[in-house]
Amino acid sequence: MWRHGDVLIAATEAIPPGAKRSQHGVLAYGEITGHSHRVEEPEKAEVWEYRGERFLKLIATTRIIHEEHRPITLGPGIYRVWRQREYSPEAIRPLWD
Amino acid sequence: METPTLEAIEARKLLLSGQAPAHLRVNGDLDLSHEVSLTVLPEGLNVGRLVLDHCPALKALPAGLHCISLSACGTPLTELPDDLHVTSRLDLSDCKLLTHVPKGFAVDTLILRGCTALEELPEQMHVFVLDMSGCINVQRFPTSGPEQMARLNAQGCTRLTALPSWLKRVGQLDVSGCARLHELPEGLHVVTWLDLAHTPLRQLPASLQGVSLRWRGVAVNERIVFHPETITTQQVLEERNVERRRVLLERLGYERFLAETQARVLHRDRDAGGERRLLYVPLQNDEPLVCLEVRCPSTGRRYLIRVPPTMRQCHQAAAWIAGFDNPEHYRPLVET
Repeated sequence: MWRHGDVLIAATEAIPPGAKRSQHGVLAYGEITGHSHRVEEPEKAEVWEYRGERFLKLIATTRIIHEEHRPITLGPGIYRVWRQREYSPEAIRPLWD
Repeated sequence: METPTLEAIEARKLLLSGQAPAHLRVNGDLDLSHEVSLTVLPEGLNVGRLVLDHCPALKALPAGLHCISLSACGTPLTELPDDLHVTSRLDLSDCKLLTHVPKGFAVDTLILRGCTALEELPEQMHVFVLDMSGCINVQRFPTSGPEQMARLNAQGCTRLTALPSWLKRVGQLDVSGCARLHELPEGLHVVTWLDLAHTPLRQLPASLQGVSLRWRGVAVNERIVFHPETITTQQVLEERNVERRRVLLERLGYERFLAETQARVLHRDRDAGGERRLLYVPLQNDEPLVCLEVRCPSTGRRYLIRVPPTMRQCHQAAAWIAGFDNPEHYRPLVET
């Protein structure tokens, strides 16, 4: 498992059936900053979405990059990507940077 | 003499063998990054996109080099040839030995991020986007340059004392961390946003009144920037967005926040960002506020993230934030 700022990444076995292919290499956008957690070399990656979660298929080693966080190098494989959460008395919500 | 033209794959072999002829034209793009043996390229090389990142022995570019984009990040280049022709984008990030860019240099996007030996920018440069962030030895701009730019990023130019008077209009302007920049020029217009975090700026010239402000990338207003004493702890607690809350906290003063909310430390330990603390703040007519105070391992910034009031240990809270109700399931290998 890896933590890239407020985004978590863990190896998983498969992309769920019914997932939809995303047309870019972005894993998560910041709500205000416009920054993004993204694949450095999108040609080596497929990003899939399924029920609000993102899945990443890497066909070769590449890095996950962001304007502020140090890169993380990931090898070929399938990964689940999700955001941290924050508590509030009203609702538990994803944490946005 | 006919100009030789080669496909990228053949050209690559030839270039790495050191046998490439002058005025070689390459069909397609060339990625020669991390080639430790690459010391020289032929004169007059003409290629679409050329990547030379982290070639540790490449100390100079050839005369007459033509390309659409050139990336030579982290190379030991000390200067650029006067006749270098790059149309779209030149990225020289972390060229720590670079000291000279030719007069009148023209390219759409020029990236000089982290060129720490660079003291002077070129006179009469023609650029639309200039990223000079981390150029800690640039003290002043040249005497002439473009009147308009799409983006100027001077983040962390700690010796810079003034922006150029020739620049009249810029889309996005980042001067955050310019610790010696005490004023911005009258007559400068910023179209989209101005980031002025961690500068000694205390007011804006008339031409910048009403501009959208940012604090390290986060949208803020003039009150947060210029009158932080008016921020209240209640405002911080009520702010939903974690980045804006971070800015409010930073401007309010972390110690003031903790003192005014009478936070109690429930637990402390360390993670990749340093010490972290689980803080407990009783709230009137409400369940208590329990926050994990952490530092980002990359930026060192402090964050307060609210967790369920039942949390008692830092790791338990960090695991909950990561989505794990059982703290034993949360074991990150790398945190950045």
